[in-house]
Amino acid sequence: MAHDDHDPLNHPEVRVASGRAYAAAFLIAMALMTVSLYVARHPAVAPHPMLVLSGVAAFVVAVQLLLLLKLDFSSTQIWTSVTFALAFPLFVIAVGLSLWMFHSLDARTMLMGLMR
Amino acid sequence: MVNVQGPWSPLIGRLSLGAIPDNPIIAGAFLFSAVLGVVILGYLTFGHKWGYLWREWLTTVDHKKIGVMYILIGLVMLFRGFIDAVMMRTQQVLADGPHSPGFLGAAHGYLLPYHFDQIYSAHGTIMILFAATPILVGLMNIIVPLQIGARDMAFPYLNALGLWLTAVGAALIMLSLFLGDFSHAGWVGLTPLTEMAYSPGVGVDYWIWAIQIASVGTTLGAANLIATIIKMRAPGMTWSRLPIFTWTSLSTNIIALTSFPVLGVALGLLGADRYFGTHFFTAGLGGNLMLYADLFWIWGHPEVYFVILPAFGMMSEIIPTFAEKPLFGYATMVAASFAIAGVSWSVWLHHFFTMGAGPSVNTFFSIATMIVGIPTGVKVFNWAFTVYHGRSRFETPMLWAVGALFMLLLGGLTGMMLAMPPINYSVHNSVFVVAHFHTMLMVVIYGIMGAVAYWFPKVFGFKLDEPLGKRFFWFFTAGTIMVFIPMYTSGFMGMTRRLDYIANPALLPFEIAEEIGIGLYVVSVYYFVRQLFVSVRDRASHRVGADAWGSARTLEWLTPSPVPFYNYAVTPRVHARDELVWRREQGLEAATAAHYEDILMPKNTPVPLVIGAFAMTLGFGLVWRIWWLTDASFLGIILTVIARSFVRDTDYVVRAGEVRKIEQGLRGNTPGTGGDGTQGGVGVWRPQESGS
Ligand code: HEM
Ligand SMILES: [Cu+2]
Repeated sequence: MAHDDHDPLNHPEVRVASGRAYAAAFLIAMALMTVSLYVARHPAVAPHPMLVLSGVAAFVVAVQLLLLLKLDFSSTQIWTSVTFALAFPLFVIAVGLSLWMFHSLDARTMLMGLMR
Repeated sequence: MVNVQGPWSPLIGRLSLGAIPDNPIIAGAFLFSAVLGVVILGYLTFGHKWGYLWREWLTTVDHKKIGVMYILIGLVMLFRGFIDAVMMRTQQVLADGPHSPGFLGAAHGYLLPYHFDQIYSAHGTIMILFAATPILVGLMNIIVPLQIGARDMAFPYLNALGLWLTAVGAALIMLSLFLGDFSHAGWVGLTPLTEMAYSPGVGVDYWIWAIQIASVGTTLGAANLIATIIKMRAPGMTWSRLPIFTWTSLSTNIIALTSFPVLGVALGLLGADRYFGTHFFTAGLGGNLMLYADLFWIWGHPEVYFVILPAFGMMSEIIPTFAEKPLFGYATMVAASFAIAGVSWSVWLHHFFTMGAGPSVNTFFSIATMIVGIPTGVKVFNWAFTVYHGRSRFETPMLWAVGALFMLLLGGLTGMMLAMPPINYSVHNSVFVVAHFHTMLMVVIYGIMGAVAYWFPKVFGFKLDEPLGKRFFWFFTAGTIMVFIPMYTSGFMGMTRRLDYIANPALLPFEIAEEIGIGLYVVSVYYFVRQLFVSVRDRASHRVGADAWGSARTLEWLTPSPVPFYNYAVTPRVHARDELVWRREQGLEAATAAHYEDILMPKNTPVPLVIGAFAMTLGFGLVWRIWWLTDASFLGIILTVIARSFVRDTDYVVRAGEVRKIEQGLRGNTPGTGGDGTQGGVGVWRPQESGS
């Protein structure tokens, strides 16, 4: 075909795929999972196990965003990164305000009693 | 899997002859649809129109035709929802007080509670999700690419897919009328009424899957429109020159993209309760029914702004055109649209102030809700200042736009009242709330009607009949006033919503007034249909040139009317915010391209329609729990998508010479010439698939 010049494999979004990054993401995620499992099983090894676990979780998220989803500031990925950045406050609003509301509800209604 | 009540067989799931309702009203509706269906099929067959339908509409990826089909689906559903409204009003006026008569087996009125509940649930679901939303998506589909100087949407194939998924949702709701029943739990899906224990039938399942499938379509459409606006603007169309309607489309689709997934999750969890026997929203066993209300309104409130922002955009296009002045306060208009979109994310709790959260929670959401009034007020003043010292002409689009302003005032002020928890505690769940949101949705309907009248000549090349359009407007407005002012009043008097029987005889006068109002609406619908008929019949004398109103301002009015399938023969260069005004001042508005170039256009494809057909059988199988059908349909969708990804030959070229021929034919389209779908002897609706 004369005008069939857009092979999907040539799309820049597809070109950013990289087996090495995927493997690295997988290995790092596995390692961090092992660490968190160990901390969960032996909470005494860390001073504040919850904090350590949350930190590790945040680290895993960052690794996956960077290595698997390739959220960076290159021209092909910038809009995806911006979208993620914009979704973050929405997530905080939706989940945070909901938690606040249910916390308040819990103190005032018998709703949570029903749950048991 | 949950065990269902009643018979079930692997072959046909829950289907049985008992699923066909034996109700005279439904039988009548069935007869009406069947006759209509036979007439249409007969016309297609004997008029040899199947090929035309297939080539020009069913397989099209043209954003204008897709938009037209979205609007047609929306109008059909608007009509269905309207019939529901007539039935509800008639029931309430008949069933008022202990001595009111009963017909057709009902103790009062003519509808059994079981049936009445389905009608209001269907009415709300249809009007918001299958009438307003598709019509708005359709209008954005048609207008946005034209306004930014693009050939089509960023993803034409995805666009068609969104259309067919929406159609499937609408079709499932219509099917529920004749096979099984529909949800009786309100358009919001009141928990735990939607749970298996309280709604063992298929009604709630129809409701879940119709919305779920259609909202996938809406989400895809939102992504598409955002990508189009960001990536497909013509050279010179900078952000500060973007027409306001495109700006509001952008903000509204950001809302859609971020909020519809929440609805998907809420309905998905509800589906898990109903199909797998989980307990997300049940009363007891770890379930939390309020979690559903929370999730639903996290989507629900942004959704109401999803429908109103495009209407604001339409008003912002219509008012300057007919005031013959630039829009006042462009930058504040853009900022206000995004402020509204942003704030709409943090107000959802005002839908359940009475749930029992503490005063600080309610105060927070009350203040957040009232803050929406600030950007909305900015918009109202901007429109007012646009008209101020203008030369206003009150043609039908302008009538609708100005009418929308009044509706906005009334709806916004009653919204502010509802936003105060002390007031809300006394009128929550009353018909006052119903009147509030109908006034607000009237802003949307007025905007839509104005936009349809305003852009109709752009798409079809002739104007809608003015005198009949004015009659339509005035009867519609009279109906709105007669229905909703008494509704506000009876809400204050304590009438709760969703009543199939009204115990208080003192409310009868208001019910009678509302019945008269709905009668006025019926008259207005007659004038609307008549207007369409007369306009199409007399289209030769209603022909218009590129600028149908003589005072239009934005880029889309540069293209010939009707717009050829490739939109712009040569991608325009944009010089000013009101590009057409700029060109008019430079004496360039009639300038044509010196030479033409080949145009690359997307090819038609039946794939979206095929995927839609599989989605339909998937939804049907899920509702009736026919597992082999769901599995087969799901597999069908996956295989079709995979097969399509191997198709490389998705475009074709329109040669420069051909473009020139079409353009020359079209530019000769002055009022009074031409007849059927051709302009100057050239079929504008026909993609010329040559030269590939
Ligand atoms: C000035 C802006 C607005 C304010 C302050 C406002 C406020 C409110 C409040 C407080 C309620 C809850 C009432 C209750 O249930 O007790 C409500 C309900 C509602 N509003 Fe608005 N609103 C506004 C704009 C809109 C718009 C633009 C729309 C749609 C186009 C809309 C549609 C609705 C709907 C559909 C409901 C109730 C749905 C239901 O319960 O079934 N509102 N509004
Ligand atoms: Cu709301």
